[in-house]
Amino acid sequence: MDALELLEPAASELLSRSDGVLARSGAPEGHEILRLLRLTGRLPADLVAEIVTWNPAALDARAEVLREQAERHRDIASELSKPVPWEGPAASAFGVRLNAAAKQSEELADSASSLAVHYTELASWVRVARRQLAQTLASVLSSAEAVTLCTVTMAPLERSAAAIRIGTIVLRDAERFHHACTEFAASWPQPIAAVMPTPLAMPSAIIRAEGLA
Amino acid sequence: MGMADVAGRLGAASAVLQTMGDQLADTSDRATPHFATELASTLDASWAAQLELTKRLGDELMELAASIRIAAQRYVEADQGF
Repeated sequence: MDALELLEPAASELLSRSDGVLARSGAPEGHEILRLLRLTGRLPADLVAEIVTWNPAALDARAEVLREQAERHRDIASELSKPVPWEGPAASAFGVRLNAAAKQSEELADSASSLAVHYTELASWVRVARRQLAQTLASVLSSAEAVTLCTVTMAPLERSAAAIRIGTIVLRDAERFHHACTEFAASWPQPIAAVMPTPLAMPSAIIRAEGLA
Repeated sequence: MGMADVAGRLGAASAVLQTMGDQLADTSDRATPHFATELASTLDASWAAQLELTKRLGDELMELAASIRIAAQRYVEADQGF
């Protein structure tokens, strides 16, 4: 359990209270929080709840699967690259298909390795970002605005200002998540393409055409 | 090494690829939160391509192994015909 998970229950309570005030009283026109709300499409409590569920261990698990698979693909490519033990047109056709299969396996190995690196980088970033968000939540929880929000005798205007301030601070952090996610999406490797353009039924057709049937 | 050995090798490689495809399918649960829709779709697309091509390669090797077994059998039958 990291700092974000530890803080989440208390933060959730405060942010739900803050969101309630925000929803009732709104924010002045042109205020930063309105832009942040439009960008993220969520109130701070909902957003934090989603980020809390973003488990970097799941990303590490994917990276590990891909690294294992890259090795197995390379083994298969090596196996497929061994020479065929017979000659003739059927053997040639078979060799073409086998080479294409070996190439595809190598491509899958390279793609798996590349994806594994990106998943590991993403997992590392998520860990750092979670720590930063935890620090933000800790500062919000111990702020004067939190006291204002939790004090029912405070004037509505003061409570509204506190809610806007808390929401803005949390959503600024969420904005960093948003930008980072966009950058990761832009730099993510393109999906691997097929390298086998023709159906594999071809060799057996050639074998039959060769007069063996 | 005869044709049957090659077919056996390809069949074994195909089985490994099918297992790898299953492993990718088992791990394909959502890895990003809902708010990161663009990142989620990017990750899903690259994962799905890896899964699809791994399975397709497995299928192709299985079919190739079957073709070689048939060809080997026909060689045997042709030899017996002489």
